[in-house]
Amino acid sequence: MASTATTVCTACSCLCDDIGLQLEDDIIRRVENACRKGSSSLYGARFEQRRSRHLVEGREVGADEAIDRAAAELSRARRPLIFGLDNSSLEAQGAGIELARRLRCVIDDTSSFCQGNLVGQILSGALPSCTLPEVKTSDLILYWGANPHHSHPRHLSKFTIYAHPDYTELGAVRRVTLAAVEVRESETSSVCHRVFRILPRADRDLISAIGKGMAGQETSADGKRVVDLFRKAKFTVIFAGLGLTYSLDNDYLPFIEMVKQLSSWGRVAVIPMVGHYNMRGFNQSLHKAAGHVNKVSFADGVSSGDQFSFLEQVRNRSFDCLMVIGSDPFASLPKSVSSALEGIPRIVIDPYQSATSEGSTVVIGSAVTGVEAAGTAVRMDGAEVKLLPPLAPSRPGDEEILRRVMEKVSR
Amino acid sequence: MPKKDKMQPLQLYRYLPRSNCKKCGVPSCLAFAFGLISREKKPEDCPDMLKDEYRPSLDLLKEYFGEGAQVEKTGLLIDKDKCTGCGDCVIACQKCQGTIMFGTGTILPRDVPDVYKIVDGIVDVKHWESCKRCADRPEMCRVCEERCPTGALELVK
Ligand code: SF4
Repeated sequence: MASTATTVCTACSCLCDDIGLQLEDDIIRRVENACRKGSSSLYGARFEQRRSRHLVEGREVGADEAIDRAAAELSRARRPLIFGLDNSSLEAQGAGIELARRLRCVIDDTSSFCQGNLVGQILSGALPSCTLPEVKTSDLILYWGANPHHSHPRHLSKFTIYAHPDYTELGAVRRVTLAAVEVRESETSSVCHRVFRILPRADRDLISAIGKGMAGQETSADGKRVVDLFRKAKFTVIFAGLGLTYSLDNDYLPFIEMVKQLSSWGRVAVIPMVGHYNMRGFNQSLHKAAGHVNKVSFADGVSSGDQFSFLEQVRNRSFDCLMVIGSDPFASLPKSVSSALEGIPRIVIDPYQSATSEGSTVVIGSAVTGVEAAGTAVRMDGAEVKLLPPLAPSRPGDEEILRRVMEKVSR
Repeated sequence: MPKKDKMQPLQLYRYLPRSNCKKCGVPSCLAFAFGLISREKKPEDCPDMLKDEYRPSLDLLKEYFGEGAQVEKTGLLIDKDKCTGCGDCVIACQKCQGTIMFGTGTILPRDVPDVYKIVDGIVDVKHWESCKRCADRPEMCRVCEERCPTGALELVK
């Protein structure tokens, strides 16, 4: 039977909530408004060849058996590690954190080598932020080290420059400026009013040039031009991308200092260009539960530190059982590192087959959150968005799986 | 890859025989170059291009202006492979609907349905008649082409 529905896209952290669908007997026939990334993710949910089935040591089993085996592996392990949850709902993240607490183990997500630190600075109040609807009252939008046309395709048309009420294509007066700091010519920089090209890893130099310019000292030409731009703006929103994060090597102090200085000229807000649709949700959930955004160990009360980051844990083989939920770290780890993990039992909960699920001890096929399973997610600006799954679930959701595993874990 | 890999008329002219023989039906090779860009002509329409010496040029021009390119009513060419469905054109087009009265700065609004819609992740034209190029007194607007970050939209007229 044909029907229509509105849904929220979960292919990136824009969480676009205006996606129109035409369905026919639980099959999506037409997707409106979603970008290419979003529509592929919606159509992909019914692509059975790519979906994962419940497996124990490569043998297809029922959900109950897979869950029992996962619980047995976790119970047997002395130092398990839980990783992922960025592509799960807030409810599933809550269950994952509870499971980690019960197992007294380490829990981490991709944000430990991505935007986690930046989200942490915002949550702790060190960096001012704002919501995406507030961007419509700004007069300077700056993408720093980000190319949203690749990572968040609808960012400009739905939330920033094109959605801005003061933006018009008629007349010669510009009331809102779009600028970018980039190391190369990108899709986004090609449509910006002002572009500041810098050398790779030169972000710190630009920040100090801006600082000098603001203090009235002699500075570089680019520094001067950025300062001029900031001086004229009443409300600046900086979208901080991975380019900035990696260049600063997670040391945000100079950036925080710059934002503080800028705030004396007008309002400044920073929004992290978060990748996975609910990575910020994981950071917020863990921050609420344990006071840290990632890299947390529940072994001895609550502790956090770089030694608990996934990469350090892998490097030191610090765990004896790995549980990965909705993430594919093996696709990006060097072969030498991932092969060092052979022999360690691996439990993967994922709607799709991946390099990580390949050869895992237990694979539990889960529902695609947002398409088949309901829940709540946190957008890049910290706003909570209720997901509206248009399809009936073909497998249990992450939250249900984690709760069932938790019931069976003997600790 | 950002946009700007479009061939400009003079660039294109260099690949043509430049003899102005008029066998293609237009007065000069440069006019033929413009004809190729507006998709009114095909590379094979130039008889000299079929000669062996022009084989590499012909192959290259066919890649750019060969079959499969469908120019719609307003001179719009959509390269669906390049479109990422970002929707920038949808909104930029909305924001240019209207006419500015020079001297006064007043905007005369135009209340029309959206030209574009993103369907299945790729731009689709919904209402041709809303395009300013189709208006009673056509306005040669190029906003969607200029704002497209990937070069998927090209106005060839
Ligand atoms: S911008 Fe992101 S959330 Fe919006 S439709 Fe595209 S992938 Fe989905």
